[in-house]
Amino acid sequence: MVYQYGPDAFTRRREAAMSEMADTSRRVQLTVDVVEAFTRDLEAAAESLSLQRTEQEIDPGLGKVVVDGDGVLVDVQLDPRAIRTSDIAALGQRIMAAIQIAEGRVNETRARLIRDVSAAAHL
Amino acid sequence: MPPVKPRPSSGKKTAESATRVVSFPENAANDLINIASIVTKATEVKKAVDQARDMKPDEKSINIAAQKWYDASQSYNDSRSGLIDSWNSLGAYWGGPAYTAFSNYMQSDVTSVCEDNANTLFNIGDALVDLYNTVALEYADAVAYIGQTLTRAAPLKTGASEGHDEQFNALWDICADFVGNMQDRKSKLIAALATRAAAMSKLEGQIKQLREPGEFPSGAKDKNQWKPST
Repeated sequence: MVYQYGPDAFTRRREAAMSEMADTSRRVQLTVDVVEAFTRDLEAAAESLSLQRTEQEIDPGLGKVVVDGDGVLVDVQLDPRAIRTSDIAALGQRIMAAIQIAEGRVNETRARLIRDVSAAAHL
Repeated sequence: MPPVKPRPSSGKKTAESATRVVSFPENAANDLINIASIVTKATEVKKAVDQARDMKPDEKSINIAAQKWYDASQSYNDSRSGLIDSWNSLGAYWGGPAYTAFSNYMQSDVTSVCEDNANTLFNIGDALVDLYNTVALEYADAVAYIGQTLTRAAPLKTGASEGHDEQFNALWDICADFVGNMQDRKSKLIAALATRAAAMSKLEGQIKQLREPGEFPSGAKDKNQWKPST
């Protein structure tokens, strides 16, 4: 019963209901803000990653491959002197192996960045 | 009796000025749809995102409606207070059988009608607030799930787009889970709203029972039975 406690109790109850409603809205908007902030951080992380270059040595000391932040090959630098003394037939496989390692490192970096961003967002 | 002026509600202005338009995480939703397109789930995920967006509550509208019910309830309370003051004042000057009949009538009939009607109107305001809170919290959960899904899907984006089966399949599963989750949430919300609609219907039934006080007692109409208080 609303009035058994008098008009003041009525007013307090009304104000409490309105306050609860406003609190709910604040909590909802906070959730939206957290998700959007996470998305911005995720996009910023992807942007910074795309600018990075990852170098991987071609074993055994034949040069290096360079991949971009998406793991795409952008350069192969061979050491002419080292190649001269190496097994030329195996060079292609060694370059491919280096590219795969570089891609793997990029993927690990990306996954770590996303994990860090996610952990910070407390989603 | 002088007309009863509605008392200003100190809470009303504060509550109305505090209303806000809750937004939707459009960037997160778009990112999720774009990632879903890698596994040809963009259309389904977009539909699920739209379901989440449709849950968005409108605080301002509900607040205005609830305030009107509370205001109506408060008018009854103000009338009741005025009536009680009025008959208490009469008691200082009058007595006798007519005054007793009048006093009984005021106590047992008029003020109880005011109380019942005020309670019904107040409860409708409360029901609207409860409705808002239910929808808003379910909406917040849906929004959070969009973010959580993005945290699971984003690491798989590159691998899936390059055709790696493991990442592709994992991303497909995540998108399918998201679609199912949003459908479940929508069904759950509809069920919750149906429950509250039933409660509102019950209150509506009580509104129909709003009644005027009973007939003024005949004993109180006889001016000879009103005696000055001694």
